[in-house]
Parts: sequence; structure tokens; C-alpha cells
Amino acid sequence: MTVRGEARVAVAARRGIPRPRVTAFAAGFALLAVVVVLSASIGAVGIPPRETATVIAHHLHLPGAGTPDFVADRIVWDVRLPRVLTAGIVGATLAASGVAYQGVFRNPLADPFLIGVAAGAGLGGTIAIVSPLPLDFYGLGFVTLFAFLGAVVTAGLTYELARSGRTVNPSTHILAGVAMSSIAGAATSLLMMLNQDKISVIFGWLYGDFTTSSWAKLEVLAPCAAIAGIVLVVLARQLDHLLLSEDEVRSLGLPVEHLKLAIILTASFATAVCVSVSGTIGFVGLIVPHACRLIAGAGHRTLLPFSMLAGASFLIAIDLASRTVLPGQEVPAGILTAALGGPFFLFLLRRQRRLVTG
Amino acid sequence: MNATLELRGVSVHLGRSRVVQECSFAVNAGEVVALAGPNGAGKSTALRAAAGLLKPSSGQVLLDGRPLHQWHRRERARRIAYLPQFPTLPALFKVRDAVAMGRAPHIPMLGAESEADRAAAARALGRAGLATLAERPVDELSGGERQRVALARAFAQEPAILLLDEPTANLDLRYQRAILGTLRADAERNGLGCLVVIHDLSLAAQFCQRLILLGEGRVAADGPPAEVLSAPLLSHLYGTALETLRHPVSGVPLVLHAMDGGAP
Repeated sequence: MTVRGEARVAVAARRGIPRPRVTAFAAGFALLAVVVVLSASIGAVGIPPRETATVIAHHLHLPGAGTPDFVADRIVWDVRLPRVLTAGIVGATLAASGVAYQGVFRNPLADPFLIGVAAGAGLGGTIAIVSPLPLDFYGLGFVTLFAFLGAVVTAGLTYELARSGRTVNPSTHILAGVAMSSIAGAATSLLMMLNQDKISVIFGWLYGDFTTSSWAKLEVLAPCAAIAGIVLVVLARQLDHLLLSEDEVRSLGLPVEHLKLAIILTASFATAVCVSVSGTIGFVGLIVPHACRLIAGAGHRTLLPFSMLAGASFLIAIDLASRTVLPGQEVPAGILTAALGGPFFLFLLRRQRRLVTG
Repeated sequence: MNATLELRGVSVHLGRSRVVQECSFAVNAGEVVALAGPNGAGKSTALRAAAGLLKPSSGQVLLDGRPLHQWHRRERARRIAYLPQFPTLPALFKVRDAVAMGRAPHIPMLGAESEADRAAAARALGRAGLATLAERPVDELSGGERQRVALARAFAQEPAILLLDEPTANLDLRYQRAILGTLRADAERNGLGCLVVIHDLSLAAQFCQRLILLGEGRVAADGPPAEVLSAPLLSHLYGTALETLRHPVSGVPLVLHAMDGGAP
């Protein structure tokens, strides 16, 4: 070890946050702003993006904001923005839970949809709807609680099924997830058949979309998503450590089981909230974190917030596409993400050996 | 930082088989101790028990005279570092960040790393000869470099006792010497205690003050390499004909395969 080398290390250590990350975050925020404005401008009635920006600036009481046109204000603020923000929050939350599952299971292929958690949440919510329990409170109530329980149970079951001794093969984990999804899906279908009177409620909840978004629903969704996001960001450094083998984590003095439990519970809560709002939208938790790893690195303190930022932009863009690609009708967001995510998943599967830590 | 780690009559079961049987030995401050023996002798298992990762079925592991399980996990992790035979380096992490993970027991659970943590990680990088590789992703490194990154992570933990499972297995001659030399210097200067699982007995004899030989889970010999490395004992333990001779300069024993005239 040379003296010069040590000096260079010391200087680098004092430097603080690397500049490329600051640039990446600035670019991420700029992209989000552009996507939000564009998405709120495009629709049956076109609004000039400048007018949309004026509406948003006016409502945020930004200095120098002009008075917006009355009709544009109604369309942008009352109709489109709740939908855009809902898509953004769901995108951010799905991306965060994808990052969390990938980290805690040490499985680069983990995604709330692929490991069966989303289907588990679907089944849980359906059970709540057919039960005599009082129905929802803006779509989030007993139904969400049961969806959360369904998500946690499937996350745990899938992992245990795939585990042999101390190791879990990532591909086996996904296969177990597919099997659990089928089982949960079959049970959900059965419940729908047995409860014909509630079929439209179940269907509306299970295959929900962003068309029914409103400010009132956002008031429930936003705090739930924020809690999950904050907990995961706070645990980001521990997520880094959980990428090591169990022996290594324990010899670093970390409470492995408690950390895993906290992270799985939080990610499952996040997934359940998303499923309650928008139905199952697959692959967001897979595509976004992987793309972000290439830009922001694999350290969770950067990866997690960056993925949330990118996930928001991604799902807003997907939602925009879902209401514009086919004239006169909507293509569900889940279909579009699956069309993008399927090939991406196959690509990852081939590269898996390199991506699995080793 | 001086510490003593002692195994007192430790037996460990893996499944039904007793892999380690009534082992007793100690690692003291300032010592580099080699743990050697044939494949399946229980070296790695004994090391994991010493690290508190396996619960002995009987006997005790004592750190500074106090049973290991009575230590708080973070306190213990500040005293003992453990490096497995196949350490994990998370994909796409920079060398610097992978090494900084060793600071975990020094950073409050939900807190951020301090200036002291960054300085310790930088020192660890330097000691493992990695300063120039600090910004490289671990995926781009050679096997030997990866081994050194894992070692630097253990250094960053700044333990009083360091437990290493075959740290020199993937290293070329230069880095074998660099790593074991660093451990030895640290032991003599700062009172670090090291227990190193190692297959190369000649290498162990050159760098370790003491050598413990395990055979079928039991301690077969424990002492200075010059006393422990005898041809009859080794030949019996490994089940193959071995000879020893002396290093021409230092006089430490070297272990070689016995040859009966021509080719083996």
C-alpha cells in the first residue's frame, strides 16, 4: 500500500455524496415534473402544457403564478391530477416494494407480482369483501387489512416453500411464487363464483384501475404509501447488509430475523395498498429497480429513493399510454406493464447467474 | 482492544453427526493461530462455533471469560469479526461500499456513518492493498482481489479477535504473504488475536506463532509449528506419507509429500 494511495482514499472519503448521484436525482425530479405536466395535459380535451403548469403553480401558491383558465383548472386539477398522482404514488410504492423484496430475499427476480404476494393480497381482499365485515372506507379499510394479511402470508409461504436448508434458489422462489399465485387466483375465482351478488364489487376491486381516482382517495393512499416508503428508506442501510450471507450478517451484529420481518411486513403492506387502489400491476417492481441499479448503483440508500422517483414517472407514463394508445378505449395499465415486463424478465432470467451475488 | 477467545470442551452437532468433539483451545491477544487438518476434520465448524454462529451442543465459548451468548450481539461484533470461506460481495457494489459494510456494529441501527467510520473503512482498504481499486465495482475484480475486499471488510470492523476461514485459498504467493504478514504485524503491534483456517502447513509454519491440528473433530496437537509438525503425526492424520524438512534460512518446518525413489 503506497502512501499516495492512502492519501487518495482519505480525500475520497471526505468528499461526501458523489456528484453523479446528485445529477441523477436532479434529472429524476425534472423527468417526474415533465411527465406529470404532460400527462395532465393530454386527454380527450387537450390542454397546453403551459396552461397545466399554471394550474399546478396556482394551486401550490407558487409566487408569480398567474390565474388559470376556469375550464382548464377544472379538467387538470379536479379530473386529471388525482389520477396522475395516484398512478405516481402506486408506481413509486410498487418500485419500493420490488427493491425491498429483491434485497431481503437476495433474489434479483423478486417482484410483488412474481413471488405471489399480489395474488395473495387479491385473495385476502376478496375474503374481506365476501365476509360480513363492513365494506370499505374509500377502498381502504378491512379490505386493505385483509389484503395486507394475504400478502404477508403468501410472502412467507412462498419463501418457505422455496427454501432448502439455509439457501433459497432464486428460480425456485419464483416457481413457488407462480404456484402460489395460481392457488390464490383459483381460490379468488371460486369465491367470486360462490358470491355472485358481490361479483361486481370484487371485480372492481381486483381489477381496479386509475379511472376512479379522486382527491379523497388520495388522502388515504398518500399517507399509507408515505409510511411504507419512509420505513424502507430508514432501513436502507440494513437492506445493504442483508445482501450478505446469513453468517456474515449475524457476525456484523445485526438482528437478521427482526430486520427481515420488518422489511417483509412493510413491503407487503405497500403491495397490499397498491393492489387495493389499482389491482395487480405486475413487473413495475422488477423493471424499475433493475434499470435504476445501472444508473444509481446497488446501494439501497440511493437505489431505494431513486427507484421510487423513477417508478412514479414510469407508471404515470404507462397510465398515459393506457388511455391514449387505443382511441376511445382504455388498455389496463397491468397489460402494458406485462407487455414490457415479460420480455425484460426473460432477459434477466438468462443473466441471472451474474446478478445473483456470489 | 486486547481480548481472549476460549473454547472449553466444545462439541458441535450438525444434523446427527458430531462434527466437533470436546475441543479446547484459546486464541490470545497478539497471536496468529493456524487451524489445520484434513478435509472434514471440523475446522470450519469449530471456527463458526468460535464466532458464535453455531451453538455448541456441549461446552462453552468464552470471550474475555464471559460466555459468548451473554454478550449483546453488537458488542460481540465489535470484538469478533468472522470471514467465511466463500464471502459474499453484493453485485454492483463499489469496493469502498462493500468494505464499509464492516462498520455495521459501530453505527447506530438507524443512524448514519460518522467521520470515524469513513476513516476506519479507508484504513482497512489501505491495509488490504485496495486503495487504488476503491471506486471499482466488485463484479470487475479477480478472485484474489475479491478475497481481499472481504478481508478489508473484516478489517473495517476493527475487531480484537479475527476469525478467518481459508483467507489465502485464492491468493497468489505475493498476496498470501501480504495478507498473513499484515495479520502478523497487526497482532504484534496492536494485540490483534487471529484464528486462521489454513490448508498449507508450510505457509502456516512461516506466519503463525501457533498451530492447532484437528483430526476427526478433536484437537490432535496444539503448539508452536516446530513442535506440532512432525512427519509421523501428519502422515497418520492425513493418511498419506509426508516428510518435513527445515527452511534453509528461518529453520521453520516445511511439509512435503514423501517420495519412494521415482515418481509418486
